[in-house]
Amino acid sequence: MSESYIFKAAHGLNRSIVTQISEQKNEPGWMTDFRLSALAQFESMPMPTWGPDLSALDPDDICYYLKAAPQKNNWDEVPANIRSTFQALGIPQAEQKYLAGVGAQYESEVIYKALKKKWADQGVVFSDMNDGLKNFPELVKKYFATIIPAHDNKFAALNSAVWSGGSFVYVPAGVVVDMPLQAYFRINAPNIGQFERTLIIAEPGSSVHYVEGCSAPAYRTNSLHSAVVELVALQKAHIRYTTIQNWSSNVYNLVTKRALAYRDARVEWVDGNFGSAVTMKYPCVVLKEPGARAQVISIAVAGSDQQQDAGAKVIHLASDTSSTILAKSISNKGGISSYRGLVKAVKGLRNVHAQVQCDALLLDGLSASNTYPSIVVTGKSVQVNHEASVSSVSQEQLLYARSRGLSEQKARALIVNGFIDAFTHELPMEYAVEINRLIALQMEGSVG
Amino acid sequence: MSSTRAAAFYTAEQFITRYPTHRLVSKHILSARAGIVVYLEHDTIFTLSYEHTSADLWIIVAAGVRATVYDIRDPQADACKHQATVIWVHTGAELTYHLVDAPEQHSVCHKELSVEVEAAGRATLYALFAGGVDTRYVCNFTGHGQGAQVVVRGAYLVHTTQKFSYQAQQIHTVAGVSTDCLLKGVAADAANVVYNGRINIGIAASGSTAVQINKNMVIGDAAQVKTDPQLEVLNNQVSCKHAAAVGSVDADALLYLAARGLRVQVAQNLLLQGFLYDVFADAQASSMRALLAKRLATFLR
Repeated sequence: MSESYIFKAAHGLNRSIVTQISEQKNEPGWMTDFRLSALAQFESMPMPTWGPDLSALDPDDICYYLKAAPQKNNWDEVPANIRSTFQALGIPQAEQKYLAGVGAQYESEVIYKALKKKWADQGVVFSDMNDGLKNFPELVKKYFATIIPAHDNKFAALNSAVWSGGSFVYVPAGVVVDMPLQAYFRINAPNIGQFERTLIIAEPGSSVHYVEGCSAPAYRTNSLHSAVVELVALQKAHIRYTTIQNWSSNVYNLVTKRALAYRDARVEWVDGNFGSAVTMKYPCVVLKEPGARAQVISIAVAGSDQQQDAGAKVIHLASDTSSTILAKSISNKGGISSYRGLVKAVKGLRNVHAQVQCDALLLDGLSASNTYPSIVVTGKSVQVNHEASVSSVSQEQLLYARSRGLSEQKARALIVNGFIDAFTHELPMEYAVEINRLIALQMEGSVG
Repeated sequence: MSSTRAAAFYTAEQFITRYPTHRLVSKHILSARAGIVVYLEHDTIFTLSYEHTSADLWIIVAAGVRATVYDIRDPQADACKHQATVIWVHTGAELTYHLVDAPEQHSVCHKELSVEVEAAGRATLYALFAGGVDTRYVCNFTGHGQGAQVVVRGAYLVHTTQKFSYQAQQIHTVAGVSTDCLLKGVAADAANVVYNGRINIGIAASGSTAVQINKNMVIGDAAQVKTDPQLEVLNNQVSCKHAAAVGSVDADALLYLAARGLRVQVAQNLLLQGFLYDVFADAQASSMRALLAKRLATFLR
C-alpha cells in the first residue's frame, strides 16, 4: 500500500488503543472514561447470534484508528490522492450545485468539512464530531450517548469505545436548512474499522436534511463499519436522514441509528442499502411526546454473497403519535435480504397509528427473502397494521415491456426500478438517478 | 371416544403393527407416549368426544375420502391439557375439521397440532380457542405434494389475566402447495396474546401460495398483544403474503351505531361479533358461528 498516514493504531483492541485514540483527539477526561467503560461493555457482550453470520469478522484483525490527513475546509488543500478519490465520487461537484454543506471522512477522520456562509450566519453548526465536542462541550455532553447508550448493543459499545469522526449538526430554533447537508464516508485501506459518531440536534421549529453516502474499494480481507447515529428533533422540528450505502462486498456494516422525536416533531429515515458483505441496520424513532411522527423508507438490494439484514423500529411512548414504515428489498444472484422490524406502543396511549409495509422481490431461484416483523401493543386506542409480500418479476410485465422493444435485461431493470419507485421518489433528483444506475449495475448479467 | 362404521380405531401399537410403513408412524407415533388413531376410511361426519386420558390423537383421512370432524373439547376434561393432535389427509382426500377448545378457566394447557396433507388433498380447520389461564398452541401445517391445500380459520377470546400463545409454521418443502391461515382474536382486561407465525418456503417449493394473517382487537387497557408474522422464502416462483393488525373498536363505527339508539356496550359487542364472524364466514362453518356466538356472549358478559 503506497498511502502514508499521520497515525495508525496497531491492529486489535485494548485499553491502550482506546486511550491512544482519546489522546490523539485531546479529549476531556469524561470522554476518555466513557470510552474505557464502553470497551469493558463491548468485551463483556457476546456477538449477536440472531441475525446474519458474523463469524468471519475477526475483531483482532482490524485497525481501529487510522488518520490519513488533517481536516481542511478547502478541497485544494486536501492531499491530492484523497481529493482525487472524492472527485471520482462527485462530492466537490455536488457541493457546488445543490448542497448546503459537505463533510468527507477518509478512514477514521474527517478530512474536509465546509458549510455555506448563509447557514453558518444563521447559527447552523456542521462540524465533525470531534470539533463538536471541543467547541460545544455542554451541548454534546447533554445529548451524547443518551439516545444510544454504550450498553445498547455490542457494536454500539464498540463504537462508543473507538468512535472517530462523524458529524455534529446543530440547527437553531426556527432555522430551516432547505438544502441538504452531505457527509461522505470512505474506507480506503484494507482491514480497517470506521466508527463515525453522528449527533444531530434540531431545535424547536427547525428543519434539516442530512445525507450520507458510503463506499469502499474491494479487498480480499474484511473491513468493519460500525457507526452510531443519534438524532434529537425537539418540538415541531423536522429531521430527514438519508443514507445511500454502497460499501464493497468485503465490508461488515453494523450500524445503530436512533432518533428522539418530541412534541409535534417529525423524523424521517430514508435508507438505501446497496453494498457490503453484511448489513445489520434498523433505524429507530422513539416518539416521546404527543404529535410526533416517524417515517422510515428503506430499500435493501442483496447481490452475490451479500446479506442485507435491515429494517426499522418505532417506539410509541406518547398518545397522538403516528408512524409509517415502507421497506422494499430485492434479492439477486444468491443474495439474502431480510426485513427485521419492531413497532411498539406502550400502555395507556390514545390515538396511535402505525403502518408497516414490506415488499420483497426475488429475482432468481438462488436468492432468499425473509421478513421478521414484530408488533407489541399494550392497551386499546392503538392501531397497528403490517403487510408483507414476496414475489418475483411477473412474466406478464416482462412480456409487456419486451413487446415494446426492450431487451429482457432492460425490461427487468425497468420493472425493478418501478418496484423501488416509492424509495427513489423520496430522494433528491441527483440521488434518484444514481440509485437507478446502481440497480441497473446490480442487475447486470441477471437475465435468465 | 365415540365411533361410527366409517371410522376405525387403533391404539398406537395396533396401528404400527397394521401400517408399519405409514409416514405417520415414523414421523409422529413412534416418538409419542400413547395415543389413539382414528382412521376415517369412508365419507363421514364424525364427532370426537374426550374421556379422561392424556393420550395423543392421530386422525387419518383415507385417500379420496370426504370427512367432517367435530372436535368440541369438554371444558371439564383434563384430557386435553397436554395433548398432541396430528391430522393426516391422504391423496385427494378432503377434511373439514371443527375444533372448539375451551378448557376450564384455571387450566394450563400446552398443546400441539399438526396438519399434514398429501397431493391434491385439502384440510380446512375451523378453530375457536377460549378459556384456560395459560394456553399454548404449537402448530405445523405441511403440504406433501402438488395441489395440497391447508386452510386455517381461527378465532380466540382472551380476557382477565389469561395468556394465549399461538405458534404456527406453514411449511412448504415441495412444489404446488397452498396454505392460507387467518387467525383473529379479542384481548380484554389484562389478557396477554402472543402470536408467532412463520411461512417457510423451501428451495424446491415452486408454485407455492402462502397467506398468513393475524388480526387482533384490544378492548382492555392493560391487555397486551405481541404478534410476529414471519416469512422465510427461498424460491422466487411463489406468491407469499402476510399481514398483522392490532387495533381497537372503531370509534366512528361505534358512533354510527350509538346514533341509531344502541347502547355503547351493545354496539361494541356487535362490532366484535362482526370482526370475529368473518373468520367463520364460509357456509360450512355455520355451526362454528353458533358456537362462537355462545362463547362470545359469555366472554362479553
